[in-house]
Amino acid sequence: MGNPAMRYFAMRSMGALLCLCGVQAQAAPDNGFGFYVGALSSQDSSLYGNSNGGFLQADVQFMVDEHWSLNPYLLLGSETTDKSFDIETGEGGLQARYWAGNSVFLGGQFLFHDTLLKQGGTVSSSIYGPGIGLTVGWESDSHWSVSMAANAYRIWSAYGQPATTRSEALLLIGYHWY
Amino acid sequence: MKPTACAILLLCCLPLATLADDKPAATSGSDSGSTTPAASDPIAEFLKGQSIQLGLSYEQGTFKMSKPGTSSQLTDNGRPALLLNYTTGEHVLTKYPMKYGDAALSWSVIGSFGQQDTHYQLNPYSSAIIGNDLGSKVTGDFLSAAPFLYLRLGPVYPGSDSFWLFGYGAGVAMYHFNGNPIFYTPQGNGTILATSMPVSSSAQLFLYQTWRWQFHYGDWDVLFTGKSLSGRKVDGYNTSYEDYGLGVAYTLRF
Repeated sequence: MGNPAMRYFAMRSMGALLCLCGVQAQAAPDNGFGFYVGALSSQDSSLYGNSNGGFLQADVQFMVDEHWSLNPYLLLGSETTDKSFDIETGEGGLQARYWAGNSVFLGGQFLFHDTLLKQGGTVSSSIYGPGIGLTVGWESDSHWSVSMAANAYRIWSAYGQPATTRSEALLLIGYHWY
Repeated sequence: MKPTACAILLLCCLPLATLADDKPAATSGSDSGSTTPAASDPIAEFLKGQSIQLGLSYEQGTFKMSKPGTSSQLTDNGRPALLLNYTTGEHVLTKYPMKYGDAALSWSVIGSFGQQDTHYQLNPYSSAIIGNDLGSKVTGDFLSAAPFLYLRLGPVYPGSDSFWLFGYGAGVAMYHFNGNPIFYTPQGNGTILATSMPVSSSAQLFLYQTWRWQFHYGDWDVLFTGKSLSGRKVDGYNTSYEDYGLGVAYTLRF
């Protein structure tokens, strides 16, 4: 290992190895603010079928201990549906995250939503209520994160139809300021 | 609202405020083994005293009167509004230590002043939440007081005056209003009869419920608030007023 080139190669290899399996080298998650952009797809059995759209989300992360955090959050989204109306969604929730190591988290959330159905620029209905969901994600050492979430909540149609269940899948890319 | 009614309600709040202040300040979460030492629990210290929130919010209020077969709803279509809340000192029921500070289940008493200016009629031909200007309107105001139970997390950063809370409160409100809403009554032949009728209520007690999502940093708060006045009949009509808003407020502590 007296050769500088070999030494450099060995150091770089070790660095790469630490990056690949270096969970221990990852900075621990901490309290701070997060901001996310994302895409969502939702499904409803009778009211509108399928919808697709985007959203913005902000949260505050409070570490309970080294493994658990509580993240109250707000989400604003906009979707287009298979029917003649669009959807504007607002959600406020509290997410509990379990941090496996310092980069991967699993969690669940309880939320309240307000769903506006818009037809031709006019809000035809406002539907609100509670919901639940699950989330899984990964946060890098540089505080960028990728996560997925799935939520479900009951919605009652303004058109006299019975209540249905809306399920939504979300893909989030975010950044946390610690 | 009659000044005497306001004065009585404010006087009723004072003993509650004093009661809330009797509780000693909550102890630090660091005492219970949290990972980062802290000299004291700053949030509990900040919330020990009384406070007044003064700010501006964007709100939408909806007034409803109904009895079997006929109903009326008016809204303000959203408007800027004064945000004025009084909060007593905090009572901590239980707390769980976190890395910084605590997760605390607490209560306080909140007094609020609100104004109603609903002059857009929701009707069978309008949007469900955006009304039309049909010449009808109902205006009023209310003064409320409610015990408020909430979950509080914080601080965000050690030693900072920052926390998040979510809670629910139920109490009473002195509420009065008057105006000329349009009532809609479906007829047997499929048509809808629209009738304008003057309504008026002197200041009287209503059930008051409130929900709040609040983030506090420094002396400032961002609040998502829901308020509901209900539980009373006026002229035989079930009468209610709901208001949802997003606001920013400055907190004065004393």
